[in-house]
Formats: sequence, C-alpha cells, structure tokens
Amino acid sequence: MKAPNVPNWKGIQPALALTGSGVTPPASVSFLVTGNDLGLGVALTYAQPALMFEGNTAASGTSRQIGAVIGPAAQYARAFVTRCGTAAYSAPQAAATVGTATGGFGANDVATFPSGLSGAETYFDTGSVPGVVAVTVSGDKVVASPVAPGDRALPLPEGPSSSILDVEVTNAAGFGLCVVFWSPDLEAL
Amino acid sequence: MAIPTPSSLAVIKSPTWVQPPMAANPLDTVLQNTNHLYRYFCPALISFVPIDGPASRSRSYVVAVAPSADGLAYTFEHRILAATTGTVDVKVETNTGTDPTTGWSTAYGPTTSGSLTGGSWSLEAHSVTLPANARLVRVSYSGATVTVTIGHVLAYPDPSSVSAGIKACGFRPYDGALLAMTGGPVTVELVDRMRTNALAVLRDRRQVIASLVQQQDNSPPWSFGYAAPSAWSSGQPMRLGKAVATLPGQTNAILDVYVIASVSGGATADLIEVMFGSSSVKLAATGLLVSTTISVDLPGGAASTLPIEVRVRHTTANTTYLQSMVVLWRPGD
Repeated sequence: MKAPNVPNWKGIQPALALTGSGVTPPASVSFLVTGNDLGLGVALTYAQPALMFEGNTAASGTSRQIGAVIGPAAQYARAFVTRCGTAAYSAPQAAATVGTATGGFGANDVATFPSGLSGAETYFDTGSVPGVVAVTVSGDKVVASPVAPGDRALPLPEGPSSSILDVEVTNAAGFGLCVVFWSPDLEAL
Repeated sequence: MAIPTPSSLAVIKSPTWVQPPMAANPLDTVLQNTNHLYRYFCPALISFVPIDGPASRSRSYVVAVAPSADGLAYTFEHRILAATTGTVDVKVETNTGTDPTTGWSTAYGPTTSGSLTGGSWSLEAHSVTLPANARLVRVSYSGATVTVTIGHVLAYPDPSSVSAGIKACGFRPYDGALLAMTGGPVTVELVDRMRTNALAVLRDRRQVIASLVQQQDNSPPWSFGYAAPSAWSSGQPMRLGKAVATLPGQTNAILDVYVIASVSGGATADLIEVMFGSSSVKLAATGLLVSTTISVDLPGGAASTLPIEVRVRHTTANTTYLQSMVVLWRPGD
C-alpha cells in the first residue's frame, strides 16, 4: 500500500546529500525509502494553471478546447470556471459546461453549473457598464455513468504516468482544474 | 584481480542487522524511476487560451518562458476550431532578449496544418527545441484558408530519450550496468543520486501558473483584444481576467510574474496589476518583457488553490495595451 503524496517543496535543498555529510554513512533502508518517496512526489507534482480568456461572448465564440497536463494517479478534478456579464438585463445567462475526453462531451457527460449571474454576457469591465464577475467551482460528487446533466466531479485518465487530457469549456471567461481525488494505492496502478 | 576469501568467519555485529545491507534492488528501480522522470515529467511551460475570436486573419501571441537548462525538445499543441474544412500555417519563434519587436529566431515553420475539420476542434502537434536562454516564444498563425479560432496553446517538455552524460540541470542518467554486476558495490553516490536526480528534474522544469494573452500584432491595429480604458472604466482600473490556479501540496511559493504591455503615450509605471489572493504586484507597460516575483501563501493539501486577477490601469488620455501576462513557478522556490 502506497498512498500518493505531493510534498510541500518549499525550501527544498537540491544539493543536500540524501546520505548526509558523513564520510562513510552506513547503508540504510531509510535512504531507499526517502529516495523512492522523493521520486514519486516529483512525479505527482503538476500545478494546474489559471487560464484567463474570453469565451463567453458572441464575438469570441463560447467554446474552447484546452489541453490539460494530468499527472499520474489523478482520478477526479473539480473545475473553477469564471463567468462574467453585466447586470443590464434580467435574463439568466446560459449555464457553463465542462467536459473531459475521459468522461465524454455529450450533454449528459459534461459537468454543468449555472453562473448565478443574470444579464448580458460581456467580458469583465470592457463594456459600457461595470462587469459582474463570479468564479464558480464544480461539485465533487462522483457519478460513474451520468444519465442527466448535472454538477459533478470531472473524470481524469487515471494511470501510472502523466497524460494530456482534452477539456472542453463553454460560456467561460476563465478556467482552472483542481485534482481532488487520487488513486488510493500507487502500487495498484 | 582477486576475490578475497578470509580464512576465518567475519562475525557481523548485531546492530548491522537493524537495517540490512543494500542490494541492487530496490535502488536500481528507484534510479530507473529518475530516468523516467527525465523522459516523462512534463509540466506545462506554456499554456494559454488567447483572447481571440473566429477570424481568418494572421495573428501572433508572445509569452515569457524559462525553458529547461538542457535545451530540451518541447511538444507544442495547438487546438484550433475551423468554421469549415481548411488549413492554417503555424510558426513558432524564440527570442533570447526582452524586446518582442526584434531578435526572433524561427524554431518551427511556418508549416501548414493538416486539414482542419469544419465545426470540430483539431489538434496540431509538433516538436520545438527551446534553447536554455530563450526568454520569449512567439506563436503565429497565418494563411488561414477558412475562419479559425485558436482555442489553446500548450507546450511541455518531451525529450525523445535520456542521452548519456551529466546534464546542465544537474541530472545524471543512471546506467543500469552500474548495478548489474552480481555482488557489485552500492556506492554512496548512487544512493544520493536518487535524490539529486529527482530534484534536478523537478527544479529544472518550471510550471505555468497563470496566463492571459492577447495578440501581439499591431497590424491591423488591435483588431481583437481589449485595451484600457473601456467605455466604463475611464479613470479606473479595468479588470481583464480572473481565474484559479492549483499548486497541490504547497503552502508557500515564490512565483515569477512576466508582463508585456505598452501604452499609446504617457507614463508607463505600475499600470499592470496582478493580484494573488490578497497580495499583488504592479508592473510597467514599457513594451518590453518586464518581470517581478511574489511570495504567496497557500492553503496546502491537494486543493491548494490560488485565485489570480489581472487589472489594467491607464494614464489620462492614454491607452494601455496588455499583450501578455504569464506566471511561472519553480517548485521549491
């Protein structure tokens, strides 16, 4: 049993010897364990960027496909979606959707979540009135075989190595992924 | 050469057995894992969704980079939506300076894409070797035969193999023969190499944390993009982007913030503000690549998130153009 763990790398000293400063340190299993854990920790260290863009107006088009680099052992993610508009109109905005190649792009496959905003869609403060901005995060509920649109966690390509995942986002002005579920046992990958 | 054979047994002292002596494995496996990291650890160096719309015009985007010290090959991926079946030419250039108007060297293309299917996202992928001293990368699209939307540009390290020899980043490739000899020695250097190799790769491959990129071209002038002030924001900062990044496991990080912005006239100082939660940095709109660093605190854990927002200011009667904002992270900083 080996649980995944991304170390806090702050202040790590790359030049420091694993075996310390002794001239002839004894062979130690703890060295092997530490060295092994470091390598696994590096393999899991994938930040997910905050992508800022316009994908929520007629001029820009409302669909974007993104290539996300996913580290090993990642199972499910939540999506942070930025919405923006103006309060000049009362009609509700269309719901944003996020789908992954792993989970599919069909209507029932994608995670949908309303922005909570009403009004015409514009891009931040670029219009003639102040923009209304909201960042919404998708849910963390895992639905293995969704049969209806809903707000849920996004399935990722769980495996022993990293991969590039197609993600499609609609009606958004910003996007970021956050891996929330990992394989419980790296040895089982 | 001889094999020493003591005439009497050497009785091993009990404390030695608390931790058994090392054999080829699992050290061999761990070191092979570090070779795996060098070949396959591929955090994104470039990841941006350009502020763009459907068009057939030519356009270019410029981003700051800090490539591997080893001059690695990077795979570039372009996700493109064509309105109807057609093609577009793709070009990638590098620049070791900070002036986006001069000093470019072609690294790829222009090369015509494969046939893009109308109404569907297409992926164009190719390799580009980024010199270690590259500061800027320019990605250009031209000669589109149909209306296209540039959806996303991604670049990540993708060396085709692990070649022999100590690398500039400090990585020392592990040759399996070093531990293949039965009864061979396990040196302290090989034990230490587990750590130094893993951290050399980690620290050498900076990861993009945030991006907001508009077209760099001035011709046609600012045909698609946003400049401050807008009709509403005259006299006030204009918000131009907001999103959330994740740095799993981290509680604090020093981030490098890069901006390329320009003005129609007037002063340039402190016109671009990038906010990280409750902290922020301000950078100048000089037309050149400018940068600064910021230390940010994070919640830690898997969901260690960081909200990032971009604001653009302007001086009276002048316009500020933000062409590119990129945030990079070197783990450990």
